[in-house]
Formats: sequence, C-alpha cells, structure tokens
Amino acid sequence: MPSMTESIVAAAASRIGKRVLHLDRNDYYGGMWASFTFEALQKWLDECRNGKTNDFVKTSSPLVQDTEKSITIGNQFSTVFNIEEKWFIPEKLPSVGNLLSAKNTQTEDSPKESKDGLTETEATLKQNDKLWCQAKIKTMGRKFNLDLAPKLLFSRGTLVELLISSNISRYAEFRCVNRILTWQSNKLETVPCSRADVFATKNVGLIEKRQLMQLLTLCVEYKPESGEFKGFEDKTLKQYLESKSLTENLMHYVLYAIAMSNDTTPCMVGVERTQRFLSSLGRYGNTPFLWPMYGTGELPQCFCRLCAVFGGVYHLKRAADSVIVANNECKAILSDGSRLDCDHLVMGVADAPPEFLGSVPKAGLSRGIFIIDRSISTTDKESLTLLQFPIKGKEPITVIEAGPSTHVCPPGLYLLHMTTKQIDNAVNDLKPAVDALLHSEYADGTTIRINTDTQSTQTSKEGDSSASSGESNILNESLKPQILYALYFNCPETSEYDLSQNVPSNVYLCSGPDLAVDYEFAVKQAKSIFSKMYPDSEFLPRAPDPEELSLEVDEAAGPPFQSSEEPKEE
Amino acid sequence: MKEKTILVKQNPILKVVILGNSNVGKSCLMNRFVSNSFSEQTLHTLGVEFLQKDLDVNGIIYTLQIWDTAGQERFRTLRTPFYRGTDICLLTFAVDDVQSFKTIESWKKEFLQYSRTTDVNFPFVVVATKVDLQDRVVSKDEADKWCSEYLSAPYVETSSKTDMNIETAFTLAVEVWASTERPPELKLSHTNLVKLSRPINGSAACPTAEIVSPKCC
Repeated sequence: MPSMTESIVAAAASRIGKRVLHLDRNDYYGGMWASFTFEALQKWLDECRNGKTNDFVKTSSPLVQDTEKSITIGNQFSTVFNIEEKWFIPEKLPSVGNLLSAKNTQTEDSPKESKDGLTETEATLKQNDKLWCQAKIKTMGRKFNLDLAPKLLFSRGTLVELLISSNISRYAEFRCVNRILTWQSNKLETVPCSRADVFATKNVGLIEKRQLMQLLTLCVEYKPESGEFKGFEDKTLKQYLESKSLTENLMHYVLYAIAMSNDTTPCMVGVERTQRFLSSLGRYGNTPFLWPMYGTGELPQCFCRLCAVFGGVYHLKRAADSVIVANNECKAILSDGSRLDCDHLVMGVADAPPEFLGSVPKAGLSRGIFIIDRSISTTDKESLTLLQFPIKGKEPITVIEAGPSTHVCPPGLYLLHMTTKQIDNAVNDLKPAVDALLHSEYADGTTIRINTDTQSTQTSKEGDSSASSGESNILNESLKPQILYALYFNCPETSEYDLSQNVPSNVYLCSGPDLAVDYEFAVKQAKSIFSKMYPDSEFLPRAPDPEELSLEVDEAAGPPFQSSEEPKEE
Repeated sequence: MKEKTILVKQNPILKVVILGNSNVGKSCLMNRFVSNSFSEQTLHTLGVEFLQKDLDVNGIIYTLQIWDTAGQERFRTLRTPFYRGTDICLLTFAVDDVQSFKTIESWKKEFLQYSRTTDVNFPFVVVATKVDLQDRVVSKDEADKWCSEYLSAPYVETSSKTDMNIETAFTLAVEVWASTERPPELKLSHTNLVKLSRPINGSAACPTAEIVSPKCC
C-alpha cells in the first residue's frame, strides 16, 4: 500500500531516470493517506472489518533459488481497528404529509402562514433542503472526499517548497486555512496570528497586544547566541511564558495555537515551532496553512503522476506477495506468480514482513471523521479552520474543518476531522472535543434545530426556549453543529519507530501517517530514503513545462515503453 | 512580433484527454495533430505531461492541451491528477482490435467516475484509429450506429499514418464542447484558490510555435 513517503521516493527515482514499478494491492492510490467518496469509504470499512484476503503463497516456488529465502509480506499492522460508525439521522425523511402532521403536533402556537408568505407546504419543502437523512447523504456520496489522514501544509514548509521546486505543484490546487481557533474557557475563540490580526482582535487588550507582539518578535528573531531563552533550555515553554508574566489569555494563544504545543513541550522546541508558524504567515494568506482542494488524498497521487510521466509503471490491485532475500539483500519480489528482480525495495511498514520489524509498534492514532450540518463557528463566509483542542497533560486533539468550497463535501455540509494520539480508543480519546464542539443527539429529521446560515439569524428550537437565554460562557447547545455521520477508528503510528534496524540493506520501510498536523515527517523520510538509495543524485529536480519540451517533441524519444519487464519495485 | 503579442488575447484553453486501450494509437493521434509527424514505432516520450496546439474552430482560436496518459492506461491506473479539469474526452479504439472497441464504454465510465463530473452532457467524441489498415474488424456502420445509440457521442474515423481526419477529429471535439456552452474548466474562477505555480496558463499569447522558432537567437 504505497503511501505518501513511497510516492515521493518513487517520483524522485523516476525523475532521475530509474525504472520504477509501483504495486498496490488496493484499487486506489495512497493507502492510509487516501481520500474516499462516501461509497468508497464504506467499501474500505468493509475491507477493514473483514480483513484483507491474504492469498495463499507458495514459499518453495521454482522462482526462488536455493541460496535465497522467500519472506511472506505481512499485514499484521495494516489493520485499522476500533472502528465505530454511527448515523445521527434517520434513514429516510418522512414524506411531506407526515412531516406536516408532525410539525402541527409540535407547534401548537405557531401561526398557520409563515412570514415569507409561503404556504406551509412550500415552507416545509424549503425547510426540507436543510433536513438530512442517510439516503440524501448517500445520493450525494460522490461529492465527498473523506480523508483518512488529513494534514495541512505549512506555506513555507518542506512540502510546499518541494512541490514548487519539482514543478509537481501543477497538479494541485489549494486553499488557505483562514482561521485558527482555540478552545478557552469553554468557548471557541479566533487566535490572532498575523500582525494585522493582533491589532484588529477584540479578544485581547492593548497592553496584551504589545506583549504578544514583543513575544512573537522575540521568537522570530531568536538566534542561539541571543541569550533570551538562557536558563530555559531544560524547562518547558509554559514555564518560559509564565516567566514573562503573560495573561492567561495570551499564554493560551501562544502555547496551544501559535506554538502548537502543550504544557510539557520543552521551551526550545516550542520556540522552534513558533518560528516555523510565524515564518509561514502571509505567504498565501493570514494563517500559515494550506489545504489541498479535493482533500489530502490528492497529494500522493500528484507524486505518482509525476513518476508515471517519467516512465514509472503503475499497477493497482496487484500485491507483492513475498520478498526474496539472500545475503541480507533483497533480490526480488514475488507477485502474482512472477518474480520481479529489483535493486531497491521501498515498502510501507504496514506491508513489512514481521522479520523486518524488531518489535510490534505500539503507538497509534485516534481518528474521527464527522459530517456535520454547519461550521463549529459560523460566520457569513465559509471558513477553513484549524483548531488544536487542548487536553490537559496530553497531546491536543487536532481539529480540521473544511467546507464545500474545497470540494470535500456537498453544499450545506461541513467535514470535521479530528486526530490525536491514541491513549484508549478513538471514541474515548476524542470525546472531550466531540462533547465540546458538536451536538451528538439523534436528530429525528422532522425539526430544524436552527437556521444554519449565520449566527445572527439564530432562532431557538421549539420547546427549547431556554437555549437563547443560556449562560453566555457555554457554547449554546443549539448553535453547535449536528453530527449527521460519525466514523471513529484507530490506526498505527510508526513515526518514532526505528524502521531500519532489521531490514535487508536495500530495503527501505516507510511510516504511515504520523501525528503531526503537517507533512514535514513524510517529506524528510522520503528525502532520507532517496539519499540512501542514490547518494549522488538530485532529489526531484524541476520537471520541465510542456513549452520547454516542445522543441524536442519530434526527436526526443525515451526507451521503448513496453520493454519494462525488469522493474524496480517501489 | 512584439506588438502582435500585446494585441493577442489569451485563447480559451481546453484540456483534452485521449482514452482507450494500450496500442490503439493515442500517442500517434496526438503527435500527428500537434507536430504533424508519424512514426511506426511510437516511443513513449518521457517527461511529457501534455502537448499544446492552437486550433481555429469557426473563427475562434483555441489552445488545446492534449494530455498524455503516460502509459497509465495499461493497468488502468489513471486517477485524479490526470482527469481533473478535463474539458473534452476523446474515446479511441483501433478498427483492427475488437477488444479496444468493446472497452470504449468502460473507458467512458472510468472517466465519469474519476473526473467526478456530474455533467450529463459532457463532451465525448469517439475516434476510430488505424482506418488505413486492411484487416479492419470493426465496420464503420457498426461503430457509428453504436456510438449514436448507446453513447450519444459523435463518431469520426482517422488514420494518423495517412493524416486522415486528424484535425477534423479535434475540430469536431471543440465544436461538441462549444455546443454545450460551458466555460473552460481551468478558467472557472475560484476565489482564494492558491495555485503554487502557474506554468501552463500564462503563455497562450506567445504560441509554442513562436517560442521554438530557431531565429530567436
């Protein structure tokens, strides 16, 4: 299941003229980094629940010589576990007639004619657009791009720079994350992160603004010799911030949102993260982050496409069955009864034979995917949001909310992704954020909770008149997005696992998705693998644009494409 | 030439994909159209994403971007980076290969699935290739009838070897596209959309032929 790292390595190898064969047992690209339509997600879940069919593999095949050993490719870590799937809406909406009678019994004192001058039937039909049922979600299923591993790109991060320098950027389009929220005192607040934001925000006072600017400037301009952080080298960022006597408000913004840290993050790690955050500001927008149109599953495919354009051979729905090893070197792989010799083998940790791994990786990710009926914090424009939901003493829950303009869901809906380190299971690990942000009661599909357009036009739900006069500090329950569909699962996280210890010298294992919100880890891992394979070659030099090639179209000819029978396995 | 460059408006850019089984002659079709060349032994040109050519259709000059499958059709591994933003889809088969004719419909399905188009009137054109061959097994009448009845797509017969109907096929495709009155996909304006680089849209005022003309130095 070649994923992000493998795809980058494949593109880089193909780009410098190496012959690359890319095998994938799935019929889609990206493995655990894929994006799915709703239907494809259901299919994926079925496969996860039923286990992948492990075809019988002959180990004493005539394709293996006496001096060689055939090691069956494993998939014991590939499993996604603790899958919990839940609908919060009925299978079908009641017909208009039923709906009317249901409404009539509920609304004793509502006038017969609605204010827009519509008849009640018309009004109900109009309202029906905002009522959701499972069937409706399913008919719109193709409009979803549900990410297994949602991530953001730092505007000046390694992936953005790589996409630009390699010219792979031509395959992808992005949107800027336009707000960073934080959760403080039981409510959502927008974190001011740019200079303009700091001055414009009403959340902090004038003195705080000056303090915040000073602090951020200190972090940006920090050099090891400056001595600003002297004495805090072995302390936490929190301790440093406390020493600056910041208000609780500011401390929260800096620690959780800008430094993307928690109570235990070492000071210098926090400073580095703050620098990275601030240096990516303003390149494309008012936050440091980009989100790919159509979801993050696009990105591995972009690298695969470049690999193919430079001659890489792609074969989906075809698995590698075993690895042939002799003298601590991978000689070939067996796939579908054929022996494919190779110089290098790059594979995902999920496919690695148990022999290649010293011990079973223990860390995991807790993931939640929620289809919701409005944004967690509605404004008059659609937002693309990052929220690091702080959890005391633990890793925060990373929350990414994307709307229809990024083509990840149909109009009228939002997608909410949650990711955190696995402690217990996905449901329990994500519960604090789900309880705080989302309305997770069953919605019967007959009443509209409130108008979903803007907060300013809110009306309270019938029979819930207390909601509007609720305590101001508590996020109004009736304003929270309704969960329509929720999916929880856990998957392994191997970014801190030593993957080179037990592998043959020319085999390179790649981690699956890691906990971090960005792609730095995958890109670094890909670069490091590439430099081990081809120490003297350039990593993804710029691919020419068609105009630059036009001159050579008649003459330029690569090797015959059909003859690639002795491929490099990727 | 300078003044001309200033006067020329940017042509509408249309992304064209050519689908069909391996060896039906997709690359030959493209190469004949773009550079008016033909080779019996087609070689896969590494590093070519797409080729561009300007085409005058009813007085409007279009820049056609014809995307190369890069061999990914062999195992049906073309996915979204290839399909996204396509304006026109040419479905090809070779008249000496029944199988390639039979798979036309599944290529159409594949296109609809991965391009995620929901447009029922998406412009498809079926292009028969290699009609110069003696041993053709798919007759013109059969193909024509099937295309209009089952695919509701126009049908055109071509030969890249003899340069028969090549430009006609692309002109027909643009006409079909124009008749549906849609804006080119690439030009749909998205607010706040970030394209990390724009290597493909900017150069239409300066056609490829002029860039590559040797007299510029």
